[in-house]
Amino acid sequence: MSTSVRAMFLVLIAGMISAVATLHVKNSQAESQLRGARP
Amino acid sequence: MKRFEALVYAAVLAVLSLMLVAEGRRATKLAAQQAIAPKALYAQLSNPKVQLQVVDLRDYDDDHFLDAHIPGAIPFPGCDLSRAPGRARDRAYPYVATVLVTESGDPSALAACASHFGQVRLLAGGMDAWSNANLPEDTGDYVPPKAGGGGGCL
Repeated sequence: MSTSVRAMFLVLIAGMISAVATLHVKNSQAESQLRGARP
Repeated sequence: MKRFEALVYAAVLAVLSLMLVAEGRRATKLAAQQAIAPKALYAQLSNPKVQLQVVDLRDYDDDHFLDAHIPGAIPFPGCDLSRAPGRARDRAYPYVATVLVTESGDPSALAACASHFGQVRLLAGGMDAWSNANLPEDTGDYVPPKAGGGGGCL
């Protein structure tokens, strides 16, 4: 596997990890807000 | 070895894609449960393509619903059918997306009405916030929509 293809995969994986993490944090915040709003 | 490496990358990408889809679905579900701001509700009510019912949980008296209510809102005081005026009793549908209106956006209304409506949200800040935003209001008795009159109420 050439270095450029490997780099492309790694960049793609890093981007997806970042997107998943961002969404997960946002969802967790929204969930805790909702939980706080519902006694 | 090179082929194995490519397979590992592909597997990692597949797993991440699944996680992304799952988080996206969770975000959509959560967004549907969040309280809706008065201006956002107004925008949705102005769009005839959006099927939405507004249910007013305040008392059906001169100080509350009769004094001012969101146009088209269905009176359903305290989510108690026996307190709803006769004309409104069969108007609140359980399977239509619903926005609940209280005096000031009290979140306990969601728990009280959970058994009546499937997809339900709260109007953030309640009727106070709607009035403060200078959005249109109706006064007086609840008037059921006329058959074939279209979906828009604003």
